Amino acid sequence: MIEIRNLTKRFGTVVAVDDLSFDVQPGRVTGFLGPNGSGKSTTMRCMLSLDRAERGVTTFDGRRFESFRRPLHEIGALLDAGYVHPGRSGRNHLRWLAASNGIAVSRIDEVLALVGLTDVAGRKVRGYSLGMKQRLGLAGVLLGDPHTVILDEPANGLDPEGIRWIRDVLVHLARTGKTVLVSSHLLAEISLMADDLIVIGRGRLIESGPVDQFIDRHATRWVRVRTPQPARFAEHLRQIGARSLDPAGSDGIDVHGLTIEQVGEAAARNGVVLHELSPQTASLEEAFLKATAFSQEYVSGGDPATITSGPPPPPAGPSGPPPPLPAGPPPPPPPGPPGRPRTPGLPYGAPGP
Amino acid sequence: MIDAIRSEWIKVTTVTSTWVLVLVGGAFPLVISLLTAALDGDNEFYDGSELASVIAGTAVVSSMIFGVVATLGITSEFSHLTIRPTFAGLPDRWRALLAKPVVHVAMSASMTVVIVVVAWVLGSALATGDQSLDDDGALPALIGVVALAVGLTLLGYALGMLVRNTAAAICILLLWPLVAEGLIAGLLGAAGAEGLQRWLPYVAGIGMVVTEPGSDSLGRVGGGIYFFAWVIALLAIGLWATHRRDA
Repeated sequence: MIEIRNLTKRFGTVVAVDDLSFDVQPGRVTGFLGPNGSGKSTTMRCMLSLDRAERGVTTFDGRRFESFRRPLHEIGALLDAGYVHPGRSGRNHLRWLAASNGIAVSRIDEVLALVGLTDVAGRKVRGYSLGMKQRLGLAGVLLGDPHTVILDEPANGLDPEGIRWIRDVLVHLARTGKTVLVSSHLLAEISLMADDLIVIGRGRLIESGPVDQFIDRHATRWVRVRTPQPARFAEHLRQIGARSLDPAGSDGIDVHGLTIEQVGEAAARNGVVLHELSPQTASLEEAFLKATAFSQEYVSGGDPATITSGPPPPPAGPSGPPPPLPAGPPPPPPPGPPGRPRTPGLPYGAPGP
Repeated sequence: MIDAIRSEWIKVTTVTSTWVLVLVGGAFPLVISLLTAALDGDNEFYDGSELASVIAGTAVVSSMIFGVVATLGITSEFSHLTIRPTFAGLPDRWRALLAKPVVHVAMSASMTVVIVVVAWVLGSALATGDQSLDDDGALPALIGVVALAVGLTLLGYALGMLVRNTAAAICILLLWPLVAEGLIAGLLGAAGAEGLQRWLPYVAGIGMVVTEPGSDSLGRVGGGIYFFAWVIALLAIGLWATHRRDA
């Protein structure tokens, strides 16, 4: 178990990590999330005493990092796959790492085979792709068969097979009782492997807890309906209090503000044929963006469509967006922090552009 | 500590630049000493003192090259950020920081001993005169060469820790003795303060490798102590800074 208490780190006048406290439980994969510049990497470096924290303490199973004589047997960390000398071979990189902690040479062959680098282990690292460097870094992490694994963006540069492989490795490690802390910008990946989340912004803890709980708290939920009579059914739904109705394809409606039971009963009462009635939950990505909306250090400024200066797109044809439904009262805006509204499409009844 | 030394030894010996530099550093004094002995060895004045002077003079270049190897040993850790996995593997930074100079000093000292012995044996064989280690200052100068190699190795390591940049650290290591001290000595001479020239660190250190130290110098032992005082001071500051600063 990793316990972090009141960790604070400044770079000059900039507070990179601000009184940060959280726990990472064994037997679970914990995702470490935060916008760019939120202090994730600095936190990890402070945990390993690579950066000197101004205040606070990190313990691994109750022990401070400095107290380990051979830490690779306890804690395996990969903070950046680029931390290798390009003129040294992959095998020699692992040799000096292993020697520093009294790890047998035979273990090097084992981890090289495990990460699939046996055939290129004698080649200099400057000839490695980013994905190969990631695998080499992971081999270094696994050298001492540690109880705790800390990885910063381990899927960077990996191909789909590699991403799946790292996910399976981390989940396997957690299932064997190890403590796994992994930061990633690939939120879809985190949602597939993480049990718990630590979310930080501007160096402060925003939230920690199980992934499901985080999504429940921050992600939008709605009901998707597909019907051959979308305009008629939308009118019925509005009458029973639907907060907003967004088009979803040519015959679909995303209904906000009503439960799935209310929508189903409304269809039955009004004799509306349904082809689909399903609960929808926004992704971890949306929950993350919502939770960190006020903590983004760098916010993209414009509509991606304005980046290119090519000709305007052709007008929508038969396959374009559906025409607006009959006008009704404008729906209230969805709840959540301002500044990053969800805009899946024009709401039904809203005036067109 | 043994683990750390073993690890550092693997690091030093698994990059090509180390071997290239060691080869150049080893070959230069051997080639020059042997050529000199072969071409000038029939001179009746070519005694042990002369041979030792040639070996010592050229081995100074080797010492500087070993200093460069030590500089690279630490600055490459910062430039490629391998210092982070190093400290993550050895949380007690002192072990890593002390293991590295142990390895570099062992390498430069042993290499210099080999260079000196081989150059002396082969140089004596090629020269027709009679060379003896008992000749004026021959043995002390050759011992001084090994001491200077150790000192410049530690100096290179200290500068690497302090500057953390390969090009800058090597420039300081080489340009200070070759250019800066010469300029300062010239200025002191022009100002009529020749007596202060002996207090320049490298001038003092060179006193260890000359067969006949001048009367105005700090002498072989005095100059060596003064030179090493500088080296140890810089080394201490470098170790303290690297131990304290973010990796």
